[in-house]
Amino acid sequence: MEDEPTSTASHALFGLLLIAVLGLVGLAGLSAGQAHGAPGWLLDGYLALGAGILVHNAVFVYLPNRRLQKELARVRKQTDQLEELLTQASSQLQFGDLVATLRLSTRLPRRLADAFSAASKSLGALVQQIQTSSIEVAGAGNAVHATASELASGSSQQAAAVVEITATMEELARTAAQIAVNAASQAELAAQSEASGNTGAAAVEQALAGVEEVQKRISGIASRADVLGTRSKEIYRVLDLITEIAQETHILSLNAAIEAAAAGEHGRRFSVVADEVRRLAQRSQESVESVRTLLDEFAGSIRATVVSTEEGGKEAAGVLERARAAAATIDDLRGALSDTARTAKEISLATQQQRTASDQVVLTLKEVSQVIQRMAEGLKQFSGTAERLNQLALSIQLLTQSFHLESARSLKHLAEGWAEDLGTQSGHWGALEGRLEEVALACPFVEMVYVVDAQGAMIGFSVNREWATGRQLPAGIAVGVNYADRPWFQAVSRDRRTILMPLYDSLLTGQKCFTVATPISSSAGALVGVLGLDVNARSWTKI
Amino acid sequence: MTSGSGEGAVRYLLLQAGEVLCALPLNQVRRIVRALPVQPLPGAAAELLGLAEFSGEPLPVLDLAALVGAPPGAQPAFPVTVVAWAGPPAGREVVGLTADAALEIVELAPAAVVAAPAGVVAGEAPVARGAARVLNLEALGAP
Amino acid sequence: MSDAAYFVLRRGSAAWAIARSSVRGLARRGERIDLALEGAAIDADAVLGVAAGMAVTPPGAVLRRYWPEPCAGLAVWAGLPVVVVNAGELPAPLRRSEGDPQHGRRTH
Repeated sequence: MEDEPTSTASHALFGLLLIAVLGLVGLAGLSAGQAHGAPGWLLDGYLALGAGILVHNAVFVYLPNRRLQKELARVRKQTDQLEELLTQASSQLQFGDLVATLRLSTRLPRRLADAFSAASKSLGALVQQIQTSSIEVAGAGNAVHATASELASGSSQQAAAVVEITATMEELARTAAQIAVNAASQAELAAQSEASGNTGAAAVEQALAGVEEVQKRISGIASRADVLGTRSKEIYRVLDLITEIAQETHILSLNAAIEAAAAGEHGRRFSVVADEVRRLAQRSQESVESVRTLLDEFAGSIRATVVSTEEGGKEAAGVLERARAAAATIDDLRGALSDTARTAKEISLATQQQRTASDQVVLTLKEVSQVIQRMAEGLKQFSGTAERLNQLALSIQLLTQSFHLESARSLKHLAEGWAEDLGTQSGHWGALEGRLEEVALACPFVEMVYVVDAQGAMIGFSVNREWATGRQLPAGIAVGVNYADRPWFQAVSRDRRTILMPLYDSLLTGQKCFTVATPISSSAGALVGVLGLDVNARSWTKI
Repeated sequence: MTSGSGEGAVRYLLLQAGEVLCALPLNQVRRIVRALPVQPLPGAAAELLGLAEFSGEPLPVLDLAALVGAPPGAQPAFPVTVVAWAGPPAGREVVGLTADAALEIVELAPAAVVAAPAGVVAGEAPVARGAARVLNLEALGAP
Repeated sequence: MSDAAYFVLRRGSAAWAIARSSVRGLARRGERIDLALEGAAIDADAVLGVAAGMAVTPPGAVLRRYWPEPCAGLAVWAGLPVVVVNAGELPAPLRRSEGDPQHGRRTH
């Protein structure tokens, strides 16, 4: 196939040579014939014919053939280029790089390019659709998981609450039973107390009568004491009168003595009588004083009696009042006891009913508890299913991320964008940390973003604050550490294309994550480094 | 009748004036009566209680306790007015003496009286109830 | 015993008597009674009555000793001891004080 145009050209040349040989042979024959006498015009005519054939062959065979050969070579070259392009595009398609495929397809013939573009776009749209759906599925899965977890937690709490309520109800039932027993006892006691109250009321009535009798007697004593007091006062008046008479008598006796003295010797005997009278008056006075003293004592006793009887009367009145109050209280108490007995019976009955109801409630609650337990188990399974759904969505997402799409949700696209940006600064890593910091900030789903040089040595990295907070940076992550042995580095170095690694446990968070690694090329196309992004599997829906 | 009777003994009326016992010669006593109602005389000295009526006659009444300078005693149960002769025998007049009590008639020997003249008080003499101030109303008349 | 008639009046705590003939006039002044005398006047709490035939005892030495005021004597009227005074020589308790100008001028 490759030798075909050359062969065709040689064939055309060979035809010309063959004609020339044939002409020369014919010329030789004619020359010989002329020599042998053939006519000269024959030779001339032969030479003319030969020349005409040669010209004809050269004009109409050789030259077109030569042009055809050139055209054929051009077409072959084009075909080769097309094949190369198609091969490359297929290769890019094989690696899921729809962007590269599309870029390559623009160099294809229009119809082919259109067909490729349409196919790539359809595929891209499909992948994006799957990506979006996977995110939605994951979101739904997460929501279901969260709800299920919440419900499971709630049902656990409910179960605990039901257990508590059951215990309380059982306690209530026991208390109700105790209350029923107590109420019955109380009813009995109240009945006994009512009987005692009746007896007490009768006793109080008797006491009241007794106190009233005492009060009457005290009143009698008081009135007699009053009479005695009145009499004493009369006696005092009499004593005063006697005293006055005695005093008058005393003065009279003194005046008699004075008169006797004035009468001189004649009055001497009279003076003796006067003195006797004075002594008598004095004795009267002394007697009166004695009587008065006795009477004072007597009056004092009477006064004390009066005071005592008054106090006794007051006391008796107080006792009477208290006894009446006690009687009223006992009446009230009897009423209250009667009410208590009746109420206690009602309580006893009600608590017995309550106990039955409590037992039923406990029974129902146990059933509820079992239902809740079953529900919790179901929810746990549901939660597990949701978790699996989430994992499935992640798997789908990883599959879709294996495609490089012209989309903000395509990790490869994003990574390559940043890698391209970094590539323009190749060899100048001064601002690398800041740039990586920006990437980490822009991508909350990225745990860590880092760049290693072409030999695999870490040049710089940035840990997302959201994940770094409260966590110790693992010892294995540091500038200068060589990662040449890592699969992602080897894959990128080998294939010079963006790769997506399978899930693994993050050294930083301990959670599932996956790495997206992309080559950083210089403007000359040489590999200067590798950009790596560790994407947290729990946060991938933020992509 | 108490105290030393005997030859030349003088009889006295023993009076209680506040806390002081006073012995008034019986010959100067005209009458003992229950305390007379007295009309105070405005502007009079402390010794003169006022005027009273005795037997239809006006009577200047003197406070015996004030006269002898006796401190006041307890409220008297039976106060008396002693109607007595005052002033010298030539021009004697009747006066009233208010005392807390008229106790008794006593006889005192002149020797028993220790002379200590001061106003109406002539001296002091012992009696059964204690020491008595012996009075002499003749001194009253002198201005 | 004198046939003279006296006005018996009360002034302060004592009863006083003054010869009716020496009294120029009687005048009620509020609760009190003015007795106008010759060149003097007595301001009485009350006029108790008129006494006639009242025995007047001249003042003794005891009275003069303990009550050194001018007086005509003592008497008893209706059981009441009375100080008899002269209109021309009134005792201090009957004389108007310096603080009584209305009558003070008339007494002088």
